[in-house]
Amino acid sequence: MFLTAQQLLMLKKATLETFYMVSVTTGLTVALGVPLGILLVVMRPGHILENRWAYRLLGLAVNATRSVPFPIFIVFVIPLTRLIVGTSIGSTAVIVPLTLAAFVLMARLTESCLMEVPHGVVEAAQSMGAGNWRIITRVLLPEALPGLLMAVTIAVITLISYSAMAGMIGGGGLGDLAIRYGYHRYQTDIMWATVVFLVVVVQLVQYLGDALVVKFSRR
Amino acid sequence: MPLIEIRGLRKTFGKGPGAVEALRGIDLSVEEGEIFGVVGLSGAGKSTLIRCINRLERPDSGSVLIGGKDVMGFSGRELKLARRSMGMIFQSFNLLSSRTVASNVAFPLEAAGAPRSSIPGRVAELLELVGLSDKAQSFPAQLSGGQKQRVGIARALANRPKILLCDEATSALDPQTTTSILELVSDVQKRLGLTVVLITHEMKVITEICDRVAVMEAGEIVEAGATAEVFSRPRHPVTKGFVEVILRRGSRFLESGYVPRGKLLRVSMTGERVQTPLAGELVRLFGLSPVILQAHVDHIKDTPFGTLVMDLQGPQEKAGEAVEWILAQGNMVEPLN
Repeated sequence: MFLTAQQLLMLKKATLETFYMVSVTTGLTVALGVPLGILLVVMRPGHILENRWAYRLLGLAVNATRSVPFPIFIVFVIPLTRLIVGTSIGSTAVIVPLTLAAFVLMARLTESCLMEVPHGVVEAAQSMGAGNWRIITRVLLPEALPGLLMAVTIAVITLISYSAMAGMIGGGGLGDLAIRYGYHRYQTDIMWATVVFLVVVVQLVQYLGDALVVKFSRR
Repeated sequence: MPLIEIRGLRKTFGKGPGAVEALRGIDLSVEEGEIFGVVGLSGAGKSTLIRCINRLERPDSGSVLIGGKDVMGFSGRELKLARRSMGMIFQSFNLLSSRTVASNVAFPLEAAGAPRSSIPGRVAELLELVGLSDKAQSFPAQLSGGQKQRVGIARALANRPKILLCDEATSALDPQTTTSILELVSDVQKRLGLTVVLITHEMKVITEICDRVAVMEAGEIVEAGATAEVFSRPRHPVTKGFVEVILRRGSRFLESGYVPRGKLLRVSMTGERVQTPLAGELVRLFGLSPVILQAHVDHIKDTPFGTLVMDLQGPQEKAGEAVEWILAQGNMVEPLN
């Protein structure tokens, strides 16, 4: 290894910060994005909880959130971040804009997965006297599970990339390290190390995601 | 009192000039314990009709009475209970791909809140009934179409319904598999005393198992009655078209250049009349020499049904008398020249 012990220490710290941001945000993203995605499906015209206006309103809100480029979004939600976390600086503060930006992506991904479940299967469940909650939890979600796992994989990888912008508000992490040391201080070796490391991490996440998808595919 | 009574059912999809009137005032009653078929070409509205029975589709007006109670007036809870008293099977099977066969059959039991301990026994019973005990742990993707429909049937019967609704249940299957599924439906219908309502565009399905039939066209019922009755005396062009298909009643012999030398007739016979030596009698009684161009005997449900196309050669002055005689026997005669 061509890095000094001190550099390795920085790399380790940054990795832990990235891991912290990404894992907490992934949890929140799934917890918020999947239910929102479900609503975006079941409130569609002709679906089990049809509600034209609520569907349009939610769709509009999701699109609006997704329209803002992430670096601008971070700044834009600073008041909210302060309100929730108490500060707008640091790894924990970054979790707010990260979650907000990622959960709407997760919602859209969830929506497209659930749309893949044939409507006939939903109707079959209805014909057996299953209620809406049962249809969501026992039909839509299990049937869409492989797709949802793929969606979570995409969301995690997107989060790793988004978290790199966390440096803008002192959030730390691998991206921050690469920019501050690798770019601003011309320490190209640090930049290379982070890039290689990120590539490896993303590959591992994708590999794990693919393996889970295969494990749960029944088609 | 009929088990299912449909009155003045109407349903229009869409608005304005592009609107489609799927049901234009349907009246229908299905007696307990019968197999009732609705046949029609695609787009006739039959799928909308059957889906109104368990309210998968909400009609614009009219009523669907099941045992005297209007399904249209049911609240959420009542509707769930009503749906559990009706099983439904589908053209595309609609099984849960993430569940095993056994677990698919368990689904309606879980939905009905059956005690957890009672489920495995009931599932085994149902799989036995449809002949799939060895596939309990398979996933739907590993099954053939016929096997998938058997799972569908087991699932539909899980909560011991009184009614079985079949929405084009054999349309995705090959002819042999269709026959075996029809046999299964007919078998469970007898064994469990079910009332079956099925819709189809396949005449084979109607003639093999339906006691009564309604012919649908453009959102209306154009003809209805006992199956053998309706198809031995088809009145509406759509009905005639279906009969042609099943009996291959074309007149290709004319196209192929056959020149009749006498009166050309098509005789339709039902029931025991199929067994009368018609051609022989024409020879004996009228001294005619019938040339048989086409003859076909089939069964509609349990009634034999035959058609005979013949060229009545011989003394033509006797031919008119012969036609009178054939009619007097209770047969139908259609002159072709």
